[in-house]
Amino acid sequence: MISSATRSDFADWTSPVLVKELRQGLRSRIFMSAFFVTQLLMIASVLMNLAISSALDSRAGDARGLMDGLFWFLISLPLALGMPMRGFTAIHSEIKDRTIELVLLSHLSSWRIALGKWAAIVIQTLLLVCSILPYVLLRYYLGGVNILADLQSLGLLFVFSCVLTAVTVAMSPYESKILRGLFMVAVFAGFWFLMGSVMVWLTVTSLYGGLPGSGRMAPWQVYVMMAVFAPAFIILCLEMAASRIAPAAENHSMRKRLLGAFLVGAAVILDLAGVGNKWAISVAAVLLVPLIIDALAEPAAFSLPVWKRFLARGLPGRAAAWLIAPGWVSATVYSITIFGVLAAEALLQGHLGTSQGRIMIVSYAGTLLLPAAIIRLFQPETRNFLGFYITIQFSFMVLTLLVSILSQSLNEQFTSWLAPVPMSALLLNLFNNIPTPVQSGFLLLTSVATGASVAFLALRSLTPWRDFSANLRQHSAHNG
Amino acid sequence: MADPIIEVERLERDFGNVKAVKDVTFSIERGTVAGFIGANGAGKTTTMRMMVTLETPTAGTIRIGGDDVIDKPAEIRRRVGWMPDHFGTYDNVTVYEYLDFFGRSFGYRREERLRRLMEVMEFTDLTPLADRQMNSLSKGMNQRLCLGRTLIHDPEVLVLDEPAAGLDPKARIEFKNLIRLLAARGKTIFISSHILSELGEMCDQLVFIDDGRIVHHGSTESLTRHHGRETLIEVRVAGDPEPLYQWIAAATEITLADRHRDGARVRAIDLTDEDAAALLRRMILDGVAVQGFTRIERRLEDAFVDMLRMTPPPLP
Repeated sequence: MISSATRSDFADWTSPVLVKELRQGLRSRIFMSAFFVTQLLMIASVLMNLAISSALDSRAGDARGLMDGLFWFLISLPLALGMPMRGFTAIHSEIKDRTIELVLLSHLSSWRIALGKWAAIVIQTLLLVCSILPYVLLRYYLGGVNILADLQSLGLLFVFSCVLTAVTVAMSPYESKILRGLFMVAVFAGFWFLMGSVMVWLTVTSLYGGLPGSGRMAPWQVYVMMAVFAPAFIILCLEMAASRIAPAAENHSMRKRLLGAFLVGAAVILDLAGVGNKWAISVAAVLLVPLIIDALAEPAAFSLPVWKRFLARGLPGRAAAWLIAPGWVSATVYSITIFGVLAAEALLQGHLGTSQGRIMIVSYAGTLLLPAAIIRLFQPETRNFLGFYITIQFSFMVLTLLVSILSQSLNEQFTSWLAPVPMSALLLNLFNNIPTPVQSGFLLLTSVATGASVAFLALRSLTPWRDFSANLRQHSAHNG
Repeated sequence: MADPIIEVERLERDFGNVKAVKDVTFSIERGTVAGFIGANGAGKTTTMRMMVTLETPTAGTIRIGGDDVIDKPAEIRRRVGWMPDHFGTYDNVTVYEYLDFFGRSFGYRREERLRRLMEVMEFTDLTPLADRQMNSLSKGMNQRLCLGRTLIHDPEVLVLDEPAAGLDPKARIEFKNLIRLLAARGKTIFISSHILSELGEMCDQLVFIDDGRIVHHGSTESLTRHHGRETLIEVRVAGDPEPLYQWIAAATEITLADRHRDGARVRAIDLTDEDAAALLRRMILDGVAVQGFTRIERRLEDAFVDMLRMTPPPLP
């Protein structure tokens, strides 16, 4: 034991959490199983590839396509499913075993804990990727596949795995298994769909010069977007995880919201520079969804240390508190500001020239704010904000689906009744299911619902602001 | 107080509408072992968690070594070692790796970390267990490991919440010895426990908390030796106890509490050590064949119960 400890220690250069997590992770049954199963699957896949290639010369193209699909599917299982899934327990296990407080009392910040947890899983994923590389080479030498395309796909898969792991680490502090399960299904379905789309996009782009409607984005544009948005989104997810375990005296809301502002700013620059082909702002809007929901879910709890820091900066500090202080009250102001910037950018890009574009931006804001307003109306003191939020959104989705099916089967426009539900407006608009004649009416009713949500949240926030002021006065009096 | 290292002043903590800690004020001198006593839900753990920066006070101040827990949390965490009432263990980690992780987390590098680990493992007698997986340790071993983790950054102040809970008698004695050793090394120890007799043996000071309020703060001796203002003394004599009874009847500062075959118990009010010595001297000079003269100490449990009984109910 002592001899191992006295060795020159490379681990001293890395995060303590990373060292501990790697020690634990590399010994865990999940990693060992994933590693060996991946090797077996890869061997089986390469052998089958060889057998089919030599046996079916006449239909070699079809068979190769099938085997390619199988090869990538098998690789995706550990990389984009198995390893990211481990993120779900990353912080949850520390909370469950009550070790998180002990770690937080050391010199480690909650951010470094979240980063270390994420990095440990990513490094283990990287080990898996490295173990797959020999099979990629075998496919090149024996199967004659395009090795550059394979390496590009493997790299892309790794990036998706990193992003997915960040999302699961962000989910891991939540205690509700149902909530985490729902997130897991939604996130994995969404990301697998997105990953498949991007892969197809890049393949088609390299073959045919772009997809119709994509503005003919070149692969380098996609890579630039990924290089900007993926790290920012990963940092945002890790900040969300860190904020859940941080002591109340730390203000993580500020960092998360500044990251959100960065996403919007980067999207505006990318679009204005012509890199984003007007898609950057849409990507940013999607990536902002978890941030805004997380912000609106923050309790309006008064944290004296945080407020002292704002107040110490005088008037600018007080003004900043309206946007970046913890709690749903400032989150509402922040969200409205972000929606305003997104709308301005959409206007600049010419997206608001049509009713569809206008419905999109208004329903986007309303979709995020209406459930928050409903919860603050009926369950203002709830500690399960996210549970209620997801239930409401899910109900709206089901309602939209049912009404759409009914409209189609009876050939009647019942969908117009859904105009006051921003989520329905958003979904119907996305799938071009709002007939042109009713689009103006739809826009009006969606705007009313969104406006009412904003007005209610503003009204409801008066009480917490008053409480904050009273708390500050009490503290001042208490401490002379 | 000469050199207070822990200063708690008008501390309050609310959880929604529930006031867990109400206007708590006390201070602990550097180098003392202070016991924190209270029933479940009295506010002990909440107060301790605020002291170690895990909770934020609603009002009031806590200073450790002069630093405020709100203004300088990082400094407080450097000065204070926190041992909660649970072990906080990891799977697939050995004893050495566990301590090594916390050593790294506190920023110790290579030789310095190794030196700290060796010191801590030696002190807590964990060296033979260094390569053992944590989940194979007994409760007593785990407790020593957790104390080791608490000591890894060499804190000035140790805040220990129910550290002996669930331990067998042998492990409890070992743990008590470790606390004594730490006290001898000049650490300030603030310790809560339900086993009051053990606190009595370990602590120089006792702080009683009930329903979020401090109801007593003083030396252990003052609690165990006095029944309020009253002191009981056991006097044993050689031979016939009758002369003793006569002497007691004639004395003004003591009264007879109880007679027995070898002597009697006497009661005195506001008796100092000097008064007791003078009393014994007079008894011997007056010819009473005194064989034993002992102050009767109360059990801490009795003092605690009396304390709660005497505490006035909170004002509406």
